[in-house]
Amino acid sequence: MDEKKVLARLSKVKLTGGKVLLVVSQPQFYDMISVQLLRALIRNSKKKGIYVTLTRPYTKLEASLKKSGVDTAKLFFIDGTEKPGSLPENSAQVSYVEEPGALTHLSVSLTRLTASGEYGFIYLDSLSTMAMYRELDVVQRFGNYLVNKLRELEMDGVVFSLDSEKGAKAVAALKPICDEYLEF
Amino acid sequence: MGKKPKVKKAANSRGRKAAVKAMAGDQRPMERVNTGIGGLDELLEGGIPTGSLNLLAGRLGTGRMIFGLQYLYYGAKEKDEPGVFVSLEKEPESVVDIMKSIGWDPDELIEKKMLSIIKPDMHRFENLKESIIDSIDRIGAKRVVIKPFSLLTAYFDNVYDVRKALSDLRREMKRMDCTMIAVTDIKEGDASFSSTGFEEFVANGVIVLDFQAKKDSNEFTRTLLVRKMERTNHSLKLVPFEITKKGIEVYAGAEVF
Repeated sequence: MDEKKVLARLSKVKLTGGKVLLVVSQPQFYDMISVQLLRALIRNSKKKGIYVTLTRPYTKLEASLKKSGVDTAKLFFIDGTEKPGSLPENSAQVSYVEEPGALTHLSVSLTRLTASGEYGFIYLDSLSTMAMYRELDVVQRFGNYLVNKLRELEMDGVVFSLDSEKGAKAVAALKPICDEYLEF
Repeated sequence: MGKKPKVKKAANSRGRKAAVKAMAGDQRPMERVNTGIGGLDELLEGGIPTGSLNLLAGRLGTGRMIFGLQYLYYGAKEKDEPGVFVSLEKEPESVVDIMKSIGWDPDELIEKKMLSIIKPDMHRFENLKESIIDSIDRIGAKRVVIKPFSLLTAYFDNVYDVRKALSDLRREMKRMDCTMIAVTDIKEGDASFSSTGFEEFVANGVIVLDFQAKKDSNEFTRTLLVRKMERTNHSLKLVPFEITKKGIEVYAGAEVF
């Protein structure tokens, strides 16, 4: 698959509110896919969104997305990439969890944020990173929890995973409960 | 043995139906006390039944002291319900300091007789009970916290006497329409929620605070479980909680992973 085909496929994705996408991609399409999907999510939602990053630190990610034309003012970030014990202070645009495997803390952060009703979507980046830190059954349970939360709150959601052996097992378990599965 | 009389069978059947109705919540609304612990009342159909005696069990450092003080502070400040903190170990000044460290102002409440912190004489159980009842009477308290409740069991030589004394205390709370939280200690590795293992059977409710460490993660989480709450269709879900700058916050919508 080349970039044109990826873009064509992504342009057909409809986010109508309360829809959960599961996206698996080769590393070379990672940036392009996240930019396209985030633009679509922001365009379709009247509310802000939550970006959960377990892969790239907030500061680098935010700068990179902004450079690619994503309106990052419409995003709140939860960053799980910083070193435990030396987490930066939470701010108006970002809060931190100790590590990519700190799923209870992540669940608490999501619960606290979504309780306000301010947010219209969640973008999880990524299931494959999560699977490197926690056992498969725990990652699957978290995936189920996230999808149920999105449905309960009628929010859109993207669960992103890089094409990897560990990620593949978690993806297989989550596939039946998501609304659409995209593979690039 | 002869056959069971028909009348008795019918009564049992009615009893079962009533129990089923009660389980389904098909009864007149129960009077409940809002705990003031953010998120907890969601798990308890709105709060703890009024006039009940509840154990708050937990290991060292799980936040039981803050839980108890928050329950009293919220009642006095937000619900106009006076409260008594019965401290069996710490001096009242230390309890006041703990409250101040969280940003609560107990002095104002003590002056207005909305809060009383006592460290009673512990020579005999009967004297202790009278001190508690006097303190409740003096300010018309609706909420009481005793910490550590485990010390009360030291008065008695056998389990029968412990259970009897605690049952008396429970009856007194009900008579005075006062809702008690009794803080008990769980030792590392213990399976019971109290020092004798019998207090939980006498109590109307049991809330357990704990730490969870997962074998595949470095993450430590504080957790809360409503293990028992009579006349309440309570959640049995283990939920995470945090000790924040405002006190304890329970996240009923989150999960422990």
